[in-house]
Amino acid sequence: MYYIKKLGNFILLVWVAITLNFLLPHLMPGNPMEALVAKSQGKIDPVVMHALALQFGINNKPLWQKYIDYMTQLLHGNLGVSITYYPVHVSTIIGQSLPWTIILVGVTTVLAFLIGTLIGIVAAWRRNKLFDSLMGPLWMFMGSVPQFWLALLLLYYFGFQLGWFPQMHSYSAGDAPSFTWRFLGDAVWHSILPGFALLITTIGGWMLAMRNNMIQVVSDDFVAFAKARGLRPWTVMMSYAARNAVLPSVTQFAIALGYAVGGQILIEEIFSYPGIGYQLSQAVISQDYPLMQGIFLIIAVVMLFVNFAVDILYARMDPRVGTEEASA
Amino acid sequence: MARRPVVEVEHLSVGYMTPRGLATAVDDVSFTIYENEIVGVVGESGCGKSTLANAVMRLLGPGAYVTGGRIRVDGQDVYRMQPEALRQFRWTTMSMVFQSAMNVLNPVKTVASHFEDTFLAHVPNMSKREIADRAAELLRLVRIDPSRLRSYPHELSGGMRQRVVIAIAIALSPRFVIMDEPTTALDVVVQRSILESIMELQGQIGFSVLFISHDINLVTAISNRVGVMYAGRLVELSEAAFDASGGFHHPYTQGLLRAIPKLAVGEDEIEGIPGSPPSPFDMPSGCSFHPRCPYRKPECSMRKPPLVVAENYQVECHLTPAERRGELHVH
Repeated sequence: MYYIKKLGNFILLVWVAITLNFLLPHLMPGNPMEALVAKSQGKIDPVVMHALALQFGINNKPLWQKYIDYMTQLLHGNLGVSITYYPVHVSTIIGQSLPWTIILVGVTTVLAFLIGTLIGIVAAWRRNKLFDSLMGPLWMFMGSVPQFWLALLLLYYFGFQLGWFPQMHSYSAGDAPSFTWRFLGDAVWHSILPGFALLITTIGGWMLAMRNNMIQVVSDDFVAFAKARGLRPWTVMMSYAARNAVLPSVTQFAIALGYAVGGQILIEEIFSYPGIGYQLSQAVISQDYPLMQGIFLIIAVVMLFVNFAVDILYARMDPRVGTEEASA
Repeated sequence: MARRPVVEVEHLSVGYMTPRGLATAVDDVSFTIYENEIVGVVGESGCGKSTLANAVMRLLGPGAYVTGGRIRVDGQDVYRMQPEALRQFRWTTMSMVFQSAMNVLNPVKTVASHFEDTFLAHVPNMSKREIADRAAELLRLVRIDPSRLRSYPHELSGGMRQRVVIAIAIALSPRFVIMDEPTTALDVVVQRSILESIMELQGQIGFSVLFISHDINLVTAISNRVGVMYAGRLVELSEAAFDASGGFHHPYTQGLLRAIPKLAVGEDEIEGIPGSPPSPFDMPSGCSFHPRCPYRKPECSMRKPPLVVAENYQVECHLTPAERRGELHVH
């Protein structure tokens, strides 16, 4: 019952997101045609213009008609044609950049969550001891370092001055993506600097959140009762204290994962990393409406899906969720 | 018969570090609990009775320290154990039922999983089958259907939760169980049936109990001996006479008894104890109860009262037995 309700919610929200995504550009003044014309400084033949207008779907049909067209195209997986990369389809561009973002930002988000949460657990468990006193300020400091600045520093020293790591892109020029060890190794090598910049600056947030939750849970009676029962300290720390303290962080983690798909515009820009964030900034710069719209759609749907998935996961993690008649 | 002591508390003092200095919560308390004996401890909120229970279990929270004395359980000094020895000692030799039945179970674990954790922490080679059988048996002992093993804590009522906690407390057949207000959070009917269960188990299995409560009638009804705490001191420790009113000696204990409304015919003669318990930062001189004592003598405010040990009671009071009965009014 709980799952069906959540699934219904998810579908409804996706529909709302798609509709909003359709409506927003239509509420804005101008259209991609005008942008294209401006770009070519009026040197476009009216016949060509008409052909382009047809292709971009710019016409005088009523809004509802356009909406139905949009939905139909969407169901066929057609997100339109990019203006910047004309005549490449938006879905192709997203298909090429999304994996890079998921690998770079997704993996660092998961790593930051795991590492930060683990440090938070231990710091709260040994509150005010040496480990806690060291880790708190260290990661707070790291978390307050501006990400782009750290990225630039890393790029300058390790990429440019020392030359240890490549300065741009996600794999060596002249290579084509393939599932060979050589290519994968090359991709990892390219992702180390941007990944490191992302990781270092986000661990602190997870650590602080977990430490705070954990400190609260540690003073709960069930933790004292677990200690009194002579359970092993590791069991008390992990499956009693941390197991309960991690619940609020899981929700946060879902949101972070959702954001991960949106890419990291600054980081991807600095390292010219061909992810979603990089494409989005390119799309904004060149007023590539179809691409923007496509990326927004993907971000919205993935965000909603991740939240749906976490709702399901949460019900598995906390038995009190999902039972309607739970007593206090 | 020579009774074997199970718990020996000698001159125990516990203090809390506060911004205003050290606040003494338990002050030079000594007592012994023998095999199969139930000793009740009563007192008002803040008298130090829960601190005493936690100190025996070596579960004092941060900021609380044992400042003196010694606690031995089953002959072993609780405060001289290494962490691993203490871990194994807990629950196999002494266990504890907490006050807050509502919150002592891990909300994300089933009842079965609580038993499993408890057994595996002490008997690592116990099989799943053995654990399940033993857990079901324990639940039956506290009159809970073994099908409840699959339940989560939030699916149980307060009374059932406390029964589960009691079943967990006797899981490893400890010699000594501390019960810190085990029924306070429950309604009267549930309270009664849980007390009956405790008494039944204690009779069947045999273990010593330190029973902490603020309800002197309840404690008198179930204990062999009753201790009374006031401002951190154990001011009286007496055999629990069947007729509660006659068995107590300290003026404070008598005051507590008079404060209980009686359901007998006639006028209600509820009498409170005038004044309120002292703050640990502002202890009265001499006997800490003297400002509230109806029978106080001049020396009560000057010297600490001696420990008067009689055949079936001990009491910390300057008054003679006759004076304590109120036969001689000093003022």
